[in-house]
Amino acid sequence: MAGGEVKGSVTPLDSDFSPADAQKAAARVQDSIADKKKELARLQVFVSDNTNLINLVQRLPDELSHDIMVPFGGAAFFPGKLIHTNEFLVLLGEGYYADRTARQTVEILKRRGKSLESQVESLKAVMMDLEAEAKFFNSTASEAAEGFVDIREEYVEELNKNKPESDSNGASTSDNPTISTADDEYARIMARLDELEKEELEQGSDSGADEELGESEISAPVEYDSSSDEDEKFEATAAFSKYQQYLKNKGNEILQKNKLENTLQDSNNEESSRSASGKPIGGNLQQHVKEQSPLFHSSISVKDGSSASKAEDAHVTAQKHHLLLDPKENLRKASNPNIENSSSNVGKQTSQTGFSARRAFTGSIVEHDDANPPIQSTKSSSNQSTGLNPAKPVSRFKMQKGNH
Amino acid sequence: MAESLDFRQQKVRKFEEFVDRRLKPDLVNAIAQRDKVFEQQKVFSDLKRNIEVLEKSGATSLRTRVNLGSEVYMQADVPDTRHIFVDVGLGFHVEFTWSEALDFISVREARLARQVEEYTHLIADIKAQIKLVYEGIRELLQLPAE
Repeated sequence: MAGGEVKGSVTPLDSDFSPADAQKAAARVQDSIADKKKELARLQVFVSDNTNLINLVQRLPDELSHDIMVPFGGAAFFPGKLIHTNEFLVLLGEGYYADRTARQTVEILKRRGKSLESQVESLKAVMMDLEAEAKFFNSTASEAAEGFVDIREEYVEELNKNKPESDSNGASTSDNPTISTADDEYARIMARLDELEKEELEQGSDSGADEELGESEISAPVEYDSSSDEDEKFEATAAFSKYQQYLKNKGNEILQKNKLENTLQDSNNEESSRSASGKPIGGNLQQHVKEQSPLFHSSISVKDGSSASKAEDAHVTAQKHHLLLDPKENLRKASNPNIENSSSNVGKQTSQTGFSARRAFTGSIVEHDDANPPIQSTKSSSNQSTGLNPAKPVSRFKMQKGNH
Repeated sequence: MAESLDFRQQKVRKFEEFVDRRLKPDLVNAIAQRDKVFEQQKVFSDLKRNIEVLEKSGATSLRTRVNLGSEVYMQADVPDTRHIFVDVGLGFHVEFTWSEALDFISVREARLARQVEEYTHLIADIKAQIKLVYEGIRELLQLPAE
């Protein structure tokens, strides 16, 4: 694996969720679905009673009186008849009754019917949620039983805009040639910066640069404006200091990369022979990722906002891993009916959440020291991406409504 | 030694299952049945009181309200209250005069009281069985008596 770079960790899925546990969870969800079904049947009886009563109330005033058996207590009847067939005494609630005509009674009953319908709807939504959850648990159980692995990787934005495909290639495979391109790029940036620095010195404080480094392509030719603008100058210097920061980090990266490569290589060998003990290796790899992560973030801080299309591209891969990343996140997603899509149709899912993920990344990036790895940045991204899911809050709200 | 321990464990589990799967559902069932009988008793005692009130007032016609369902009531008129149809069971209603109805109700009440007695005995029986099995489990585990 010479020149290869391990970017993520590999954990077998059944070490996180054992198939038996997942099945147990699925069974529990099925139980609650059965409960909800009973409740739904009860509600539907109410609904049909209500519609029958509406029909009856509409029909009763057609005649002046109706011959009926008048109930007298629970076990006896008198033969008698209904009189005043357009006068109804309707319970309004809390023991208050009102005298209403047939038409007014029908209106009251229709309003009752509507509230029943909304209860039925919310109950159905809850059941849909639960069924999606059960499906998710079942698929997790089967995936864990089939020996799927969970691949995790920090989100990395490649600096080379011209080769976006290297992002998607290098995401999940552990042996890819991205390191060489990264080095090339690094050299290029160094050269470019040297050039900039020189020109800055030459031009002195009177002239400013006409470009924003954050927005420009690395390989684009540089134009300097002879007429100086104060704002532009400020921007240029700001961008320059950013680059300097980046350089510092990059230098650290080079040092660390050499170090890492040795250790990673070891773990790669281990990983290839991994058959029984998956977990310790996974943890090991994760540690490496943590070590690497500050560098990735610093590189993002330079490139932030420079290329939307490419960021999108990279997010596809990053998001792909987020799907498997956090078991809690997965569970939360289970209550979202879209979850079936997300497992099969990753691209679609990411296009929905891509924006939030990008924002989360850029929001949390500051210059990091290598000493404190910013794990929280990945967490915040996962939180935000689920927080923006539109389907979930609706159903939760409905669920609450249904309980009242 | 280990074998006998294992055997004892199995025995205890068997007893516990018997209590949980057989005796306790039986108990719940018997209590529900007895509650039903109590309800019937209440219905008939109400009817008896109502007929006595009617007898006392001597009214032959009656205005009342009928529940159409969902707490919607309509007025109803009974022109002749001297004949009353009483539920005698199995969906049959018999036309009685007031005195006949009161006779029937007293017979019925006696029968219901006997049923309540039976169910109370049954419930006590099941409770005793449960206690017995628990005692057996305690002995198997060689725990001291409470």
